[in-house]
Amino acid sequence: MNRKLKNNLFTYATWIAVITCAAILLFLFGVILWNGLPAINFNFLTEAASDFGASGGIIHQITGSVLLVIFSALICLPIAIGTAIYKSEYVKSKKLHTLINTLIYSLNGIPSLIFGIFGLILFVNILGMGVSWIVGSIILAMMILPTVTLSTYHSINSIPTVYRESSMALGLTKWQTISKVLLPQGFSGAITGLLIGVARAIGETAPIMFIATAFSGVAFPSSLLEPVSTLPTHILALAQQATNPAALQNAWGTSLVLVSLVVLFSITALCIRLKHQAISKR
Amino acid sequence: MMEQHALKPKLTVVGKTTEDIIKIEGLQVWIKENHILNSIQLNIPKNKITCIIGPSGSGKSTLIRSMNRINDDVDGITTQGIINFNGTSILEKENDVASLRTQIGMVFQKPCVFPKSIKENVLFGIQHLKKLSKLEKLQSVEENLKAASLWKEVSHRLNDKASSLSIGQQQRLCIARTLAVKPEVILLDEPTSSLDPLSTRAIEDMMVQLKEEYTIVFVTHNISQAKRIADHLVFICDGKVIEQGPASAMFSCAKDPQTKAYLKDEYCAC
Repeated sequence: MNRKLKNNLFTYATWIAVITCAAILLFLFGVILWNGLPAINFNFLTEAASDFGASGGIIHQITGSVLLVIFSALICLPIAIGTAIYKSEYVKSKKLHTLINTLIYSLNGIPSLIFGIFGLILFVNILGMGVSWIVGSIILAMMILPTVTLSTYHSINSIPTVYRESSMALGLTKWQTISKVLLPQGFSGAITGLLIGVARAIGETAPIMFIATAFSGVAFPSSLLEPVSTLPTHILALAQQATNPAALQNAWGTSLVLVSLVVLFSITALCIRLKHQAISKR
Repeated sequence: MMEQHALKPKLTVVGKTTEDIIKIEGLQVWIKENHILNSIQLNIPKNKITCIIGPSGSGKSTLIRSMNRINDDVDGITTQGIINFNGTSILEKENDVASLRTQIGMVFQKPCVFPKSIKENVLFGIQHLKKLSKLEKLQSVEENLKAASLWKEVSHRLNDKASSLSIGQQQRLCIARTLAVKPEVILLDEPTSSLDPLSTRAIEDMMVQLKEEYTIVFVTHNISQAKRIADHLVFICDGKVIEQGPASAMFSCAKDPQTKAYLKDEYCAC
């Protein structure tokens, strides 16, 4: 095969790969939009579910999901920033770096169901917190911790050394340098990671279905220790009654709402990242 | 205020012409297995410009970076020997490096302004050391930007982003920021190597003015620059001090053949 042909062939191959990737996404979006859009109306978004979800709306599910991820973000963020600062600024030994990396990637690799079982055993049974949304938030925070930590770490660690040295040469202590120079510049990385993590967490079913949610008969929680209903577990419940066309219709509608929320988080993350790039490029 | 400013240098110049503010004895530095500096013996005279020259890789930067211990954070570094600053040994582990660095300031090769306004950049160091009133802040900004000969260019846009300045202006801003902390010694590590000739001249002229109030240690690989500004000259090569002394004497008749060769042809055989 001559060189020119080979070159073109590989160019087309990469194109095909990109198109396949985009097509899968577009197909999924298309199907969800096509089937979900007829279910969406004002009442669907603002009313409580009735008849096991086959009629009524999903307001409790939306608030349940949003509540879970907001609190998981709040729990996760300080721990992730602390770990990232420690890893970036205090760890000098290569071995310790490798160890921390291995731990973070292992935590990321644990199947989400295992997190659920862990939460069930530790928080629900041993600590006696019962099935409650705060337990769900804690477990989701653990799940997204690696994503947020690594994103924060990379944005702090990519700040050139001369910024640290310039700050310390002016007589600032290490902590002042971290809090006045590194954190303000690295914060957008933390927020980007957080939104990506949250976008993942909001769609998770397995870790929260035993520990934080109930399938029917829930309203807005009035305390930390009450179960909520969430979008993904609601879809699961509706899909189990798929023989009922009304339930199926609502399952598509709920899916569309869930996907829209995920897209919203992802686009916000992308915008923050782009804005930050524009600043750091100057 | 301004009168004081004008009087002070004259007073300091009179009595303290030969006093050494920094004395280095037997300084050894390793980075991992590499022996970077070998038995450095060096005196930095007060209120003079000391230029450290030498070929690249000779250890100039490591030497100047040892003087305010900014090297401490370099991975795998070992430092031995004595650095005396105003009579205290600064390499002791328990010394407060942050307060040491307020007395020995440093300007780096590549200008590095913080993503803040020009005003905030000048105040960046000083406002973390003590509480300043609004008036003191304004005074400090004006005084130090004037000392760094930047005031005329930026006085009408102090709240603009510092990154909007040219590279040469940014470097002068970095110097102003260092002056604001009021150190006794200013270390400059090849501060003009990334600048255009005009900005370079502006910084050289500024150094000559600043030496009345501060002691200046200036690392450069540019011999003609050293000729223009140096009072005291140190030539180091391959981690050793080959020769040091008054700049005029060294430029007219260097004792060491290596120094002679380097000052003439910028070539060093070591």
